[in-house]
Amino acid sequence: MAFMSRRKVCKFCENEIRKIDYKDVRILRRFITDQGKIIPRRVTGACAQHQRQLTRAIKRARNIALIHYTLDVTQS
Amino acid sequence: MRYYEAIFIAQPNLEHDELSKLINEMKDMFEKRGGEILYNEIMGKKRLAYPVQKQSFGTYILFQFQSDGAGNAQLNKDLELKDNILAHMIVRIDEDEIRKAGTEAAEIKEELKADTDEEPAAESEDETSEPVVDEQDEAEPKSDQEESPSDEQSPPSGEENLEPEGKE
Repeated sequence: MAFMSRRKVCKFCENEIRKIDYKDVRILRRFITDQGKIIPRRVTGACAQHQRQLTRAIKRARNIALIHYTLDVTQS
Repeated sequence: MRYYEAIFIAQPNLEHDELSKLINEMKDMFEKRGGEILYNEIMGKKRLAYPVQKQSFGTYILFQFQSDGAGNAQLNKDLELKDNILAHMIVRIDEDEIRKAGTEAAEIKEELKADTDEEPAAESEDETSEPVVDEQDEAEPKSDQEESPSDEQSPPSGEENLEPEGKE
């Protein structure tokens, strides 16, 4: 079968992380694309609570210049 | 009483004395606006993800404080006018997020980092929508090794303008 559904478990639940911190850039980086888009839940497999927290954390981190809003490809 | 966290980006080129002076001034400022400082940390000089007030580096300073929130609006205005601060943000936090000097939940974070190393890339294999898969495959290996995003090559995308996410 080509498309076996695989078990997707929320990484944050698995590791018992209750709160996602916007200051933790190294974790947030995993959940955005190169262009800075937030990766959707269907891909990350995060549960609703954690994806929501994640979104908030990413937006906060963007606000304080910890991660980029977007990358201008022509610029660099 | 609620708990808040304030994070600042200070000018990167401050001398040690100037920096500690700035921090002391800010402490006074918080106390004047009814805040009680519980934790303070200089997170160090970092490269900014995008230029802020034409600076591409900044020193991050973190304060965690307790207050009834009444002075926060005024505090925001004060900070806006303060010299040597490029940007600031005050967010509400819960009591259990208050850091104690010297402790950090570093072990848990390390765990997650190790775990998520290959996660999205693996997930994307059974993902049927092509654009997302493309981005996934591009994004993962790079973000593993690189601290600064500036020299990463993003896949060309003509859809940038369609993004709903502006500057929140």
